[in-house]
Amino acid sequence: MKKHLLVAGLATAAIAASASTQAGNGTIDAATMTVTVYKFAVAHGADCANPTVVFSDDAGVASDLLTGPTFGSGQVDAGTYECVIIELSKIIRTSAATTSGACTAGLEFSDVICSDGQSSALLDGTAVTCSGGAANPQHVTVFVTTASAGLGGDRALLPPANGADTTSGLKLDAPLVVTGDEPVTLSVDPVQFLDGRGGACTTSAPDFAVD
Amino acid sequence: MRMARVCAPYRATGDRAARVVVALAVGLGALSACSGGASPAAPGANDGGNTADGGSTADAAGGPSGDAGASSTRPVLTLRGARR
Repeated sequence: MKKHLLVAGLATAAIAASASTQAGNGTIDAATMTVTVYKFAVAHGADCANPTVVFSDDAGVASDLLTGPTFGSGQVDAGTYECVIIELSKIIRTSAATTSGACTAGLEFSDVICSDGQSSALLDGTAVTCSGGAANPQHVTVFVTTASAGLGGDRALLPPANGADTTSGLKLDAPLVVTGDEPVTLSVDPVQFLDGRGGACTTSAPDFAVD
Repeated sequence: MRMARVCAPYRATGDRAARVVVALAVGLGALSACSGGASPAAPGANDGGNTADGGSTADAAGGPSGDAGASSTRPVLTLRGARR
């Protein structure tokens, strides 16, 4: 199997806004990092328009990324896809691997990957403005596209305005070329994700990658 | 085209009732009944064609196996999670 895509700088952007420090700037590794995936889609164009939904689950599939889960699968036409799209909950559940400061090993808590006021869009085009922090379980969408320069920022959870828009979404280093059954992996780095200094257990920006 | 090739064996039965079956299979049921490659071998299809009201019977018998054949031809993408 060839690795086709790579690195989403989700961390540096949207997610960074959510919690606290910068990616990997904490002091404690995460023991769990659970995300809930609702939809997975691909699009031929770098603008992520007219996506093909690979799978959809209204209830969401919640799994700890660190355990190597399978979120779902579905059929697509063979071809080249410039955009990979994942609609997920903005809430991430995490826990510390060790006790340090305000962080307690194994004690799971919620954080968000979309700061209040930040914009996203669902797979069906519905606009989302994040609000209410972790108490408001909104969906947001990660658009990983060859058009994006991976700059992060406020447009990290938005699709490109067009195929030449480098300011939106997350960077897909190479298109996904589908010739046969293929896994697409959303991975995350748990190292130094948490920080117990300062009286509260906080998170860094999750450092996601897609390959 | 695959569905035409797969449906062709229906025509071999010859009589009028069978031809009705062929018409239904190709015209209406082809997408589900014949596209997969397994339908011609399904005995239910030809059996249905040789009875008086065989058209619908043939469609029903051939459908499921055809669907299964068609779906297996498209690649499957699987979304996984991992520690990096």
